[in-house]
Formats: sequence, C-alpha cells, structure tokens
Amino acid sequence: MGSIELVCPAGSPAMLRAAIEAGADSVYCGLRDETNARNFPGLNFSPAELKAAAAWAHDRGGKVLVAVNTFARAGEVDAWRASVDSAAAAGADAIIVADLGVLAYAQAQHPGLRLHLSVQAAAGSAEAIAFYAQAYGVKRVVLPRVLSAPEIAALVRETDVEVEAFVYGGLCVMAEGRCALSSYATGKSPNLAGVCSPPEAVSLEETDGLLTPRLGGFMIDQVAPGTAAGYPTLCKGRFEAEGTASHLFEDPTSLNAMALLAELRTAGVRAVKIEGRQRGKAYVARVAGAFRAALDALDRGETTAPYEARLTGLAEGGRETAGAYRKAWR
Amino acid sequence: MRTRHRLRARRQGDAAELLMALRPPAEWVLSAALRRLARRRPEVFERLGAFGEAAFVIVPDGSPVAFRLAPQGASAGVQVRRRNDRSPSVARIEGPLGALLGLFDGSVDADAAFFSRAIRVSGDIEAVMALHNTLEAADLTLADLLGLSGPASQMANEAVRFARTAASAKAAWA
Amino acid sequence: MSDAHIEIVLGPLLFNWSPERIADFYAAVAEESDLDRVYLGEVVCGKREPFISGPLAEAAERLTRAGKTVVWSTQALPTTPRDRRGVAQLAGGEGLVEINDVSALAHRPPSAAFVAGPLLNIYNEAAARELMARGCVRLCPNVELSLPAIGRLAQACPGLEIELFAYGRLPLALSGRCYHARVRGLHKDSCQLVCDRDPDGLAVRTLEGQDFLAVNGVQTLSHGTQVADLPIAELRAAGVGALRLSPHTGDMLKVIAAFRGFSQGRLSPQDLAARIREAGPPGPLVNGYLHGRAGVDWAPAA
Repeated sequence: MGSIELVCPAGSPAMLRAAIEAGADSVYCGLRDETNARNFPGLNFSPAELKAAAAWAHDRGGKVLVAVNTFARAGEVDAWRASVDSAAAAGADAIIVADLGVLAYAQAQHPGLRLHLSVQAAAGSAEAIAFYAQAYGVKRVVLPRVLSAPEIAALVRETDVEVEAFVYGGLCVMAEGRCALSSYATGKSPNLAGVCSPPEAVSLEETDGLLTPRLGGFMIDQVAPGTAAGYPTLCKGRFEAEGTASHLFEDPTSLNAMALLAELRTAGVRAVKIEGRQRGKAYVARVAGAFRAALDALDRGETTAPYEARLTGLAEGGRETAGAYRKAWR
Repeated sequence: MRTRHRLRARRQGDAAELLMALRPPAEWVLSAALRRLARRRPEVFERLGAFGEAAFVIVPDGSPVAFRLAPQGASAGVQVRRRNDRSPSVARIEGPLGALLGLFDGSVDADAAFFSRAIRVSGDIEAVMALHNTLEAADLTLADLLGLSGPASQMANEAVRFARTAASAKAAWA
Repeated sequence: MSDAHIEIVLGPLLFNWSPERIADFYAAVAEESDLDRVYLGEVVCGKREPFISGPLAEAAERLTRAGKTVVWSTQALPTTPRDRRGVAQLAGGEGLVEINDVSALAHRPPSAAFVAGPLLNIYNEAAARELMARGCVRLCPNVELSLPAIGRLAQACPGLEIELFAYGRLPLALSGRCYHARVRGLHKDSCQLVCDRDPDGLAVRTLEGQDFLAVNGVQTLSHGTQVADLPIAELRAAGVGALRLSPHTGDMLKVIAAFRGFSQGRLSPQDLAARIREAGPPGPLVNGYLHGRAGVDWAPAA
C-alpha cells in the first residue's frame, strides 16, 4: 500500500504556491475561461501564468493537473481544444477532462499527455470507468461524490484505473455534471460555462437584518439576522415541500472525510482531493497542511485523530459531513 | 439616547467635513499608488476582466467617509467621498475596517469574507467577486497599495495585522 | 426536405405509477394514439423496477401488437449491483436501445445501433461523433441545449437523427439521494417507494410560495412544462426529426394529437400551446432553453 497523493486546489498562482508549500503533492487548476468548472470572475490562470506555475511546481517536486472539464459548446469545440493544447504546452502532468469530444482530441493530439476523468463525468461504476479507460486511455478517475466508502472499496477492486476521491470541501448533492437546476433558473449552464449559481444572477436583499438571497429571481433562502450565510448555491437553499420548509436537497454542510482516510487508503484509493479553487490562499494552506499531517501520520502507522481539529471553523456554513461516504446521508 | 445619537452624528459630520477638506492630498497619494501598481504589475488588473474600469465604493464601519476605487480606465484612482454619497458605482462594500483590509491581502478566506455578513455587499455580486479574487490572487499588502516602502511599509502592514486580528476576533467568520 | 415527416414519440415514463395506471395508460396509447415510437423502461430508480417490469412488459406486447415500435431505455444512474445487471442485460442485446448512462456503452455489442438519451451529457458535435462511431443513430440532446446549438451539432453530424425533448417537465438533475424519502424523513434504503404518491412529481416551492421544481425520487424536474412551440420550419432547419413527449397525467392522447397536428403544419405554435393548456399539463408552459435562456422562461411564438 503506497502513500496517498494529496491533490489541492489552486485558483491563482499565489494559491498554487501556498498549496505546494503547505504540503500538496499535486495541485489542480484551470485556464481563465469557460473550459474549466470553476470559471468565477478573477479566478484561474492565463496560459503564461500556467506555464510559469508548472515550472515552479516541478522545481519543488509538485505536479500540476489542469482541468479542462466543462462540456464544449456546439460549434465552439476549438476553444476547448485550445485549452488542451495550452495545458500540454505548459507542461501539465495531466489534464482532467469530462467531455467525450475533448477526451478524443487529447488522446489523438497529445498521446503522451496523461488523462484523468473529471468528477464532472460522474463515472461511478466499474463499467463506466472501463469504457473511458478502453476508449480514451484514461489513467485516473475522480469519483462522483455519491458513493459510500464500502462502495468505493468494491469499485477499486473491479478496476485497474487509479481512483481519486474528494475528501474535503463543498459537495455537489447531485450527480456531478448531470444537474441543470442552475441553468433552469438563470440560463447559464454550469456544464458549459463552468459556473454554478452564477454571481451575476445572484441578488442579496437585506431588510431589518433579514438577508434574502435570490438566484435568477427565485428566493433561495432567508437568513435571520446575525446568522452566517453561505454563497447562495441553489441546491444548498431552503425550499418548501409538503408544507414544510427545509434544506430539501442538502444541508449547508461541507465534506470532511479526514476520519475516513485510513479506510479510503485500505480501499486502495490512490489520491485524495480537496475542493475549493475559489476559496483562496489562507484556506488551501490550512487544509493542505492538515491533510499532509494526517496522511504522513497514516504512513507512520498512526491515527489521523490529532489533525482533525485543525480544520475546525473552516467549513462553509460552519458544519461538516462525511457525506455519501456514510450511507445514512442518502 | 436620542440626543447622544444626534451628538455623535454631528461629531461624525464634523469629521467628514475635516476629511473632505483634506481630500485632495489623500486622493493624490492613493491614486498615484494605484497607478504605480498598475504599471509595475499589469497582470494584477487583467484578472478584473470586464470590471477593470468599474468603480467600487468601499465604506469602513464607523468611518465618516467612503473610498471610491476605480482600478483602471480613464477615471482610474481613488476618490474620498462622503459616506452617504450615492454616485454611480458597480458595487458598494461595507464592513469593519479589519475585515475590509483582510480582503486586500487575501488572508481572509474568500467565501467567508463576503458571506459571513461581517461584510455587506450591494450591487453587482459578480463584480465584487472579481475584485476579491483579483486581490486574493495578487499577493498585495496595504503597503503595496499605498506605494510605501521600508519602515513605513512595515508599519502599515503591522497596523493591518493588528486591525484584522481585532476585527476577526469579533466577526463570526462562516 | 422541407416537409419531411417529423416523428412523434413517447419518452419513457419517469414517475412511479401504479401497475393499474401503467396498464391503462399504455392500453390507451396503444389503441388510440398516433405514435411512431414508444420508449419503455425504468430510467430513474432501480428500486421501482421489480414492481413495474411486469406491467411494462405487458405494455410492450400491447404496443407492438398495435403496430408501434418499442425501444427500451436504460437506467440513468445505475449504482447497485442489481441496477448494473439490468443495464448490462438491456444494453448487451443487439436490438435498438436508448442509453442514458455511459456505463451502458461498455456492454454494447460493437456498432449495434443505439439512441443516446437526454440524460447523457452530449453537448457538441465532437462528443456526438464519438457516440456515432460506436453505433449511435439518434440523439435526444440534453435539455439545456438551445435550438441553434442543436442545429450546429446536427449540421456537423450528417446521418444522426435528432429527437427533441418537446413536452413535459424537464428532467433537470439526478442524485444519489432520494428526496421523496428525505421529505418524509425516511432513508433511501427503506423508502417504502413513497414516490408513488406524486404521479407528476412532488411540488417544490420557494419560501415565498413560488412554484419552482418537482422531485421524483432521486430525480429533480422543473415545475414548468416544456413545450417546443417553435415554428416547425425552424425545428426542421435545426435537423429535428422527432419530437419526444414525456408521459404525464392529464390528457396525454390530446397532447400527442396536438403535436402530430403541429408537426404536420396543421396547428400553429399558438394553437399547439392552447391545446396543451386544455390537456392539463403539470405546470405552466416553458421553452426558455430552446431560446438560449433560462429554462423556466416562456417566450410564446410571435
């Protein structure tokens, strides 16, 4: 059983440096356009920044994984092909892809470039993974966040492809890449534009301390005075069904599977991933540091318990969950 | 109670008058620093994309004045305005000084910064995100922004750290 | 090509209807409707499968006897070993099937023909060509695509039939979590199949009471009812060769007849919308996605 690779988010060159310095083995990042799934204003890399950042990371033994993981727009596939080319030219160690057309292009034009299947492809069964491996030579799959830990263990036994699993950060409650809630309300598809619940469609009203976030005009929540409010992501909002208001789709919690690292390692998971390219240097330094310490402890045969407290207070909305890794979540 | 309120309002009004009188040198120093930064590190402002020429109004809690920041374009610079000035801007950002300063050097978690409610945002949320992500990515300190160097720079940054620690102790970050 | 026949097809039933309702529905569809094709199969949740497989098999026989083409659809999010066996069984045969998840491709015999369903993420011509190379003969594009985008895709994929999601609540999302169970405080594994109480989905409103979405077990749909009321010439120009109608309560026979009339140019877009409203759609009419706007928008034909 080898060490687990720690894969951390980088929304900017500064954040990339912070992640590597805090102990990340790899960072993942994207170009500053629609071709990656964290296309927030002011975030991500220019091709020149990517090249410089990759060289910087390589000098320190770090790897750079470039996400080209949205779905290409009909008639505009060349923009996605250009991002694949930019990643290859920058010396990326792998690209993270979801679209069949983009996978086919990368395989044909850059046969030496390692392909990882993005979580946006939501390949959660041995058959789906086998298809991507056979058809496009995919070497690693980032698992959708709907599987429980025992299901992951069973899956690893059934596949030769490396498995990467999210262990910390924001959770998609829907099968990734198969959710059109945001575009139904706003017209902008996360799959195409790389932004869920886009900020230009968000409005925040505050009346007597009561905060009302809206998305595309739809009320997403009402937050009492003095209560912290998360970014108004549609599926994290409160809605009414059967006469009861609740966080119908997902409570405002974020994933923390540090306590499950040993189990994931035993299951044969090769890499663990931290979510949050939009969350900045301070966040990544702290999370990467904590997970580095926990993974090193596992390597020494020790427990991860002492490091779990290091992440207190970082979770979005202040609450954490082990998510689908524990079956009760369903 | 009411008298005291009025009194405080008057004092704040006096302070505003004073600060407004001192406005030209302050604006000159801040704007020159901003332009120096744009020359020295043009990539910082590229991140703002379409919002490079937008104007942001930044209002520290308890301050009688507001700062109108236009990163790029014909009116690039910093203007000192009255707190209640409502001239057009893309977004208005209000909050405790320490929390606002935390935005400038990226030491505050990005999501937490705007949605902890310590900082209040109105206007275009996309523009505010662009500004925040830009500043977060830029590795700037207040001294960079003010164009200070040497001991003055260290003092400014120390002041920021102190103000922020004090503020974040109070603010309930998400 | 301008007056080429546009097929009217019935999509797979997405909701957990009782065996009696299923039998009655498909009996009426078999005897009293003019349809080119009917998709059958449990697409949403494998737990419903044992209860509806019998009625669906009977429906298939009845439809076939009535001269209608039946195509089986695979599950969209197979997770359990039983789900996966079901997909393998359907996809492994030589007959035409509709595929709703990539895992089915692993079982498909080389170049056996298949339909790519709307729950697959095919957004562009390059991805569609990848599927065509593996036997895909027809694509029902993801509901997010605008008609111009569908047109660009179709133009770059000669020979690929395009089937447009033309009627019904829009299938927006799939989850590992069952919302019907969650709303009623149940666990997914012991859900008691409570989704059977809402034959068009369970209404989800905003906190101010605005109708918004509908949940159907692990699936989330729109509250609004998609109606592809664009001028038929524009649909043809974009390469659309078939209109898919998704089963709902209300007068489906009337919906089918209205779309047939519309596809033959006998009903204007305005008449189509009027007939649909009379047929009792599950929510107000929407068509925003086809115009490249928010899916919830309604832009009536001018």
